[in-house]
Amino acid sequence: MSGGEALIELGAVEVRRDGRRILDVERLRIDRGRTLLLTGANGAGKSTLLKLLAGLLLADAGSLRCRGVEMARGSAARYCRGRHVYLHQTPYMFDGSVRDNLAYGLRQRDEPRATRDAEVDQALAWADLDALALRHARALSLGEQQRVALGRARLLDPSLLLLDEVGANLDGANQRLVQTLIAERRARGASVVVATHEPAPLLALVDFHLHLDGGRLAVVQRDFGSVVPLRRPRTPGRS
Amino acid sequence: MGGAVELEQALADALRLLISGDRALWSIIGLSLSVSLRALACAAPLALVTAFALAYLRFPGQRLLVTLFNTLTAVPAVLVGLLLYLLLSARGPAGDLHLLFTPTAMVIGQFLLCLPLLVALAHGTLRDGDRRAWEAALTLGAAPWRALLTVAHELRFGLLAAFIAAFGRIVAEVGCSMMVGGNILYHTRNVTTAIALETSKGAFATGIALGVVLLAVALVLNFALSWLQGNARPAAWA
Repeated sequence: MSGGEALIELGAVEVRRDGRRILDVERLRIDRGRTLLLTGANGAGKSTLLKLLAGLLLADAGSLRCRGVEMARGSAARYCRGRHVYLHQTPYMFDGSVRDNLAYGLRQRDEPRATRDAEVDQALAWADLDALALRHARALSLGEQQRVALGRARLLDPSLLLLDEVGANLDGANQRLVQTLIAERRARGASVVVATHEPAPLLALVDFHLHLDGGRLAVVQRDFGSVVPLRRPRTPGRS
Repeated sequence: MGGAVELEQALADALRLLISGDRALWSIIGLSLSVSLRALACAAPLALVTAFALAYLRFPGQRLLVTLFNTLTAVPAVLVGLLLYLLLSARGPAGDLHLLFTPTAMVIGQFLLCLPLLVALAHGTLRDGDRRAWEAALTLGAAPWRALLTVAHELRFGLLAAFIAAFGRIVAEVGCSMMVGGNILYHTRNVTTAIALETSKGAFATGIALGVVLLAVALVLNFALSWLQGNARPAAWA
């Protein structure tokens, strides 16, 4: 675990929709091997931030550095996709079997079939889906679909894993699976950002606690007592 | 009463013509299908990519473009025919290509006719489809064009319905084919221009025979579509 190496850095990043600023991050740096907790009310911009980090949407302003290299916003997004894997709150299952779904990312990498099959077999075992391998993914229960999504992301060994709204929607077994996954990622020197309403079960695993309020990012100290804003207060008339 | 007897007679003659394998009749039917299928094959990929950009990307003028395509779906075929005629006629800007009164000119006309409809329908399907499919494909490392193919596969029934609707529009249009094709037998006469001609000659049997063929094509397409959709029902997954 080589701490201190920055995976991605955002500077003065803004995302606007319909003329409204929905995300406003003065600076954010995610180092390798770190686990970050992201809290905030509904609509505070948690998904927007996670999708930005995943390269699924483009910032309207600001700078992005990936592994220390300053990149144009489009290039940064391309760089992030496939390396930073985003998991939806309700997972999307492709129209196919559980196996097909697990293999999706590996197929995009054009891995040879034999390697792919072996990796999928391993993922099936990890997510306890062996018995369901050939079932249609959309015929599974929500909990089973969540396991498919976790296994599908884990297979790609992402340097940054972005979990959107991990909480009430997970049953006990899946909660434990998420915790295992987070610990595993950390052991591999990879980073995780977990957005959740219910931080309690994850607190032991996280290094930092970020809080979003109306699109503004603040860091909560490790004792979870004080909130330190990550941006200077905006004074009217300041350029 | 007289009208009914005439219709009955015409229908009987029509069936006889179809079964007897009348050469002119089958050349007309063949041309209709080949022109419309070629036009659709050219328009479909372009329409899919355009609809995709309109549904999933953000760029200035996007809403205006959607409105434009929606409006263009209402352009009369005969107007497209007229504009294309002016373009392709000997003294027109593209006169040197000598395309006027060829099947290629008809393909171009039908291509222009079905493109806005395909874009508008495909855009509706993509916009209402689950956006998570696009995001999941991208985040799992699919290049944008492969993510596009994934989403197209996920929404294939809606898109197929759009293709069939567009095919229905162009295989049944008469104005454009008449203008730029010229209704030349064994060359540019298709089902609809033939119906117009036969009717004006009073040869109702041929006109009806051709109409029956058009309906049969539509019927086969719709059966194919509902069969495909029936096979995709979640009940079949378990």
